[in-house]
Amino acid sequence: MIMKSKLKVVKSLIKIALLQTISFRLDTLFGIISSILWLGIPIAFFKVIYLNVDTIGGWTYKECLLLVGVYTMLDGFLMAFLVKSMPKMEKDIREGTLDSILLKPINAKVYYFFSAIEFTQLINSVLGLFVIIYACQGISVNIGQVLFFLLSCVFGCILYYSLWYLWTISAFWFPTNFGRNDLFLSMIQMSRYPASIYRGLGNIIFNFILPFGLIACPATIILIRPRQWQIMLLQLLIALVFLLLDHWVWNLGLRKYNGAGR
Amino acid sequence: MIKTYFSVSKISLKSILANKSSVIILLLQALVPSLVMFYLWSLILNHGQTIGGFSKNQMVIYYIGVNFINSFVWYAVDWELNDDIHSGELSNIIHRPITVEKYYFAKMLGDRLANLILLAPILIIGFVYIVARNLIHISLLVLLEFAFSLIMAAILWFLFSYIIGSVAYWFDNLFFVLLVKEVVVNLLAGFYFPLEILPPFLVKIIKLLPFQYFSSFPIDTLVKALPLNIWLKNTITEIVWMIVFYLIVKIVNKEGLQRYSDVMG
Repeated sequence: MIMKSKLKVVKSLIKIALLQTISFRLDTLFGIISSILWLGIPIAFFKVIYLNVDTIGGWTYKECLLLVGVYTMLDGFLMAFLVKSMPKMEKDIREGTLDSILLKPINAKVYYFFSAIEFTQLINSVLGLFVIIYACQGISVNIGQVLFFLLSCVFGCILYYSLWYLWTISAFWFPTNFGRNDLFLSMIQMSRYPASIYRGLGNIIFNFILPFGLIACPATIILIRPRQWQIMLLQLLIALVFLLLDHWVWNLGLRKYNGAGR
Repeated sequence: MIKTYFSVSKISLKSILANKSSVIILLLQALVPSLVMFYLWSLILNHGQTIGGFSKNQMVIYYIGVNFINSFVWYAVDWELNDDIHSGELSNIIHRPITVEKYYFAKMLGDRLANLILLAPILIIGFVYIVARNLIHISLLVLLEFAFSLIMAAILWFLFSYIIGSVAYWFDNLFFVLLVKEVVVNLLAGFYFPLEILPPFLVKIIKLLPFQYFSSFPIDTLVKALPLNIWLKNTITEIVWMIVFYLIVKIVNKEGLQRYSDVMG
C-alpha cells in the first residue's frame, strides 16, 4: 500500500517534469541542438588528434569513438535526472529549505531524483547509442559481452550518480553559491578520455579517488577487449564503496543540518 | 557615480572572498581540467611532435592558460541576467542609482578581482616555474600585450554575454539556449582545443568571428609571442567588435527594459 502511494508520487513528479519540458518550445529546440553539439565536439576533438597520431594510450580512433558513445549514453541518462535536481538540492541545503522536502511522504533522494527530469537530455542517450552501434561495426560481440556491458553501464551510472550526489551534499559543510555544479559538470567530462592516459599519481586520483576513469571505460573495454572483463569487478567495488559513502555522508549531513532556523 | 560602481564591485568581491568553499571550488575548477589535459597531451606529443604548431610544453601551457583565463574572463552575466529577469530581482536593480548594464559590469569587476586575488599565488608560482625552466620565451612586451588582451577579452565577453542574457526579456526559459551558447562559444573561443589544430579552412572562418578574442587570442599572445603587427591588427579588430556589441547592448537594453516594465508594471 505504502509502495503504491510512493509510486503514485513518482508518477506525478514525472508527469509534471514532462509538461515543463514540452511547455518551453524554444528551449526544447535548443536542448536538441545542445545534444548534437555535446556529442559532436568530443568526436571532432578525437578526430583531429587522430589525424596526427595512431593511438592514445593504446586506444585507436574507433575505440575512442565507442568510449565517447558509451559516455554520452550514460551522461545523457543521468543528466536528465540530475542536471536540475542536484542544483535544487544544493540550494535547499544552503538556504535551509530542505525541511519541506524531508517532510514529504517519500524518501528525499528519490524525490530529488524524479523531481526535475529534463527529458531533452535523453536525446543525448539515444545519440550515444547510435555512436556505440556505429563504432561496434567490425567488432565481434557475443551475448555474454552485451550482458556484461549492460551491467558495467549500471555500475557506471551508480558511480556517476554517487559522485555528483556526494559533491552536492558537501554543501552541508561547505555552503557556497559559487559554481559547485559547474565544477562537477566540467570534471565529469574527463570520463570520456581513456583511463589509461593517467600515469602515477594521476592514475590514483582519476581512477580511484575521483573515479571518472571508471564510469564509461570499463563498459567500453568489455566490448573491445573482453579478456579484461575483470575491470568490471573493480568498477563494482568502487561503486559500492561510493554508494555506502553517499549514505553515510548524507546521514552525517542531516545531523549537521539545522534547517531554516540556523 | 564612481562611488556607486565601487560599492557594487566591493560587495561582489567580499561575497566571494568571505566564503572559503569558493576558494576550493575556484582552485579545483582551474587545476583539475588542466591536470587531465596535461596527462592527455603528454601522452600524445611525447616524442617531440607538434600539432597545429604546438609542442607538448606549449600545449600544456595553452590548456593551463585557457582554464585560468576562464576564471578571469568568463563571468556568467547571461545566466545571472536570465535569473534576475525571471525572478523579478531586476526590479530591485532598476531602482538603484546605477544603470542595469553598469551594475552588472561593476559586479563582474568585483567578482573577477576576487578570482585574481585567490589565484594569484598559483599564478606567480606557475609563472616563475615556466620562466625558470625556460618552457616558453616571455618578454616584457609580450606580458604587457597579454595583460591588455585579457582586459579587452573580459570587456568583450561581458558585452556579448549581456546581449545573450537579454534574450530573457522576451523568452521564459533559456536554460538550453544558454547551454548551447556556452558550448558553441567554448568551441569557437578555443577553450576545448587550440583553434590551430583544426583544418585550415575552418580556422580561417573562425578567425573572422569575435569568439577567438575570449580565450584563444590572449593565450596565443602569451604562448606563441605573436609579432607586434599581428597583435595590433587583432586588437583593432577586437575594438571594432566591442563597439558593435556595445551598440547592440544599448538597443536590447532599451527594448528589453521597456518590455520588462510592460509585463511587470
